Amino acid sequence: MTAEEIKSKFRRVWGEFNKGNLDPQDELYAADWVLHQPPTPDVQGLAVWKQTLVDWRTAYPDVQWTIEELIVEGDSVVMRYNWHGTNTGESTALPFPPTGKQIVVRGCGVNHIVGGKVVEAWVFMDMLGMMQQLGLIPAMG
Amino acid sequence: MSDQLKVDVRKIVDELNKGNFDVMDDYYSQDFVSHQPPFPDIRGLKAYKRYHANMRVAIPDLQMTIDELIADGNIGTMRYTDRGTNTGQSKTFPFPPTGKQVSWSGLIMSRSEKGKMVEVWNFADNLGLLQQLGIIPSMG
Repeated sequence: MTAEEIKSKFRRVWGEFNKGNLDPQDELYAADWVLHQPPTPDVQGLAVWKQTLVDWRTAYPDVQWTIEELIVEGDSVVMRYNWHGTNTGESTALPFPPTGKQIVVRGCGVNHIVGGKVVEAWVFMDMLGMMQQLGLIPAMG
Repeated sequence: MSDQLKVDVRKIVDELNKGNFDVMDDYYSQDFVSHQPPFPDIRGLKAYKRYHANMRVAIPDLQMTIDELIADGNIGTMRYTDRGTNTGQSKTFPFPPTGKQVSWSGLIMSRSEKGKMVEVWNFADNLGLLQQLGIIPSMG
């Protein structure tokens, strides 16, 4: 797969996510892929990942994902992104009563590709900012 | 270009680990901007050097390890782990020293123009760091 092909796959799959279509995730993430997203526990496997996406959409039904930057070197892809949404639902992704807050969260991740699919990713999302915007942690300094 | 960026980043990290902040003069533009959500942007190389110095006041034995380097044209990305002991207080760490040994990781994406870095995005595991320091309780 060329760098341009892998980039367009990322854009297409996340574009489909914005329409509520999660099945294209199968084309991008390997069945046994692992997501490291400190400080939360690793996500192991596509099935658990897709359930995470379902739970996330339950917490933020209008969630929209925007890719801000996409770079490729060899088998590594870095995606810098933001997502915005309104927290009107409750799920295991966010086990609190809905806050009704509209938030924007930024992040960046390194993805390792084998056979055209992500097998491992390290993602750093601004969870502190997310908790602050939801009013669950006071803003600091 | 990409290979040179990696050489530069290794050199910068080596020098910062020794507390030599002046090394940054050779690799960053004067009007450099650092975005590090959820904290405010840091504008200008002088302010960025002060931020690094303040970090080292709070964690004098701070050591950064490069876990991975990826470069594509003028954009570079470093996955890193920071380790150290929080024995000091500064503007970056505005609370009494906890004495705790901490370790946290993150990703820095940089954009260069004419061989110098003009902008970085730093996404660190700030939540994990504050939990290790005992400032925010662990959740879930």
